[in-house]
Amino acid sequence: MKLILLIDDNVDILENLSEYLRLEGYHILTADNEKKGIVQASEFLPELVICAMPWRNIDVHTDFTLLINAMTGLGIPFILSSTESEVISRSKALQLGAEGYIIKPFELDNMLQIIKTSMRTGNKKQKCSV
Amino acid sequence: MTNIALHQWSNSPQEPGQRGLEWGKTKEPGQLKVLLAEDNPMDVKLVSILLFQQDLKLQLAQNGREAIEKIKENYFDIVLMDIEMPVMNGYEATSVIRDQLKSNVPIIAMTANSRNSEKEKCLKLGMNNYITKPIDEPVLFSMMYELIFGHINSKNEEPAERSERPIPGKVYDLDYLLTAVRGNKKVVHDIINIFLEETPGELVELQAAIEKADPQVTRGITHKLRSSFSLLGIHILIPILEEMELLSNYATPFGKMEQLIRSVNIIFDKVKTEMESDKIILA
Repeated sequence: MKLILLIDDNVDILENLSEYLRLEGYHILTADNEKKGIVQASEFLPELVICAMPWRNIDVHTDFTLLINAMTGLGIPFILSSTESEVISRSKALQLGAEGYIIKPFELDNMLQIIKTSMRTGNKKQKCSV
Repeated sequence: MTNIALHQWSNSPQEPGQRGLEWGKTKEPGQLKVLLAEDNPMDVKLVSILLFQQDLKLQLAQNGREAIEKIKENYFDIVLMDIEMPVMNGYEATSVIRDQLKSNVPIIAMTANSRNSEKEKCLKLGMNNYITKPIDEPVLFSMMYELIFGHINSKNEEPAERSERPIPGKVYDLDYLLTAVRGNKKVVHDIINIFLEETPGELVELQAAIEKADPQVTRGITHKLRSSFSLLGIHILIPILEEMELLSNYATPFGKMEQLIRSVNIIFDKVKTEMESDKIILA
């Protein structure tokens, strides 16, 4: 069964999303900050990480960049969720190497679609690079 | 090799006051003797270069026991003491230097931990000051000169504003190191070579220590790795190593450790690949 790690400082989002994804048949891990997320990801090497993007100036969010770099280092595909406009988050997310991005609040169906696509392309990419 | 004869380069012209530091009339920098007790070859290399740039004379000890022997036989103006060392650590060595040798030589502790409890422990044991790795050069030298000359010159440089911001997409970052060695690419190249030579063996040792559930050795190696990784800006491994160091205090969760070290290995391989392609640029 596929393992997904969710990282968000909003505990409500973590709970709702994990419940939904568990019903869809995924194993779910959660972390409420980036450093915990790095340790979780290192311990369990999930197939996918879904992480909330910090609002606005990403450059000052050291821990967030650290998390993104850790995913790059570990070769784990990731999806970023954002409360900012689609245009801004799309360009930022792609620049950071995300497999996908989603605007909050999101429909659970949409999230599931993005997860499925990201896992497919992300894993393919990993296989190619090995 | 335990002696580094830095004075052999001291003929090269030293610009007076190039660091904004005014020397005491009685002592020229070239006369100051420093003992470095440190087992991590990368830190040894870096501190040697920093001291060389200041025209100081350096002797080396690879552990606390060696440091004590050197102090018995020689005069030093100051001792830079790593905390985590094999054979005898910095705490034990300091106790012996203060209590048995009755020496008042100024000692600065150097460690990868920034915990307050550790700082207090250092001062309580009779060390004079404390600096965290990676070493901030201006901070180190103001500390040293304050302890040696009893005052900091007002012209002293402020600690450099160092950006610790990781760069997105980079698994390592040489900014700190390049600044510390003032852009000397040869030195950076050498330190990377030491890193690439030493680290695989240390990771194998760590793996073995974890399999044997040996907390002492595990803590020693994770600590050493932490200082090497932070020197080369491999920030992403720091939270993982911190977790491992924390876990090594408990007897049970060595299974979790095995999974964490697997990830450390994955990231190290990635770093290695990137460094090897970047090394061409630095050479």
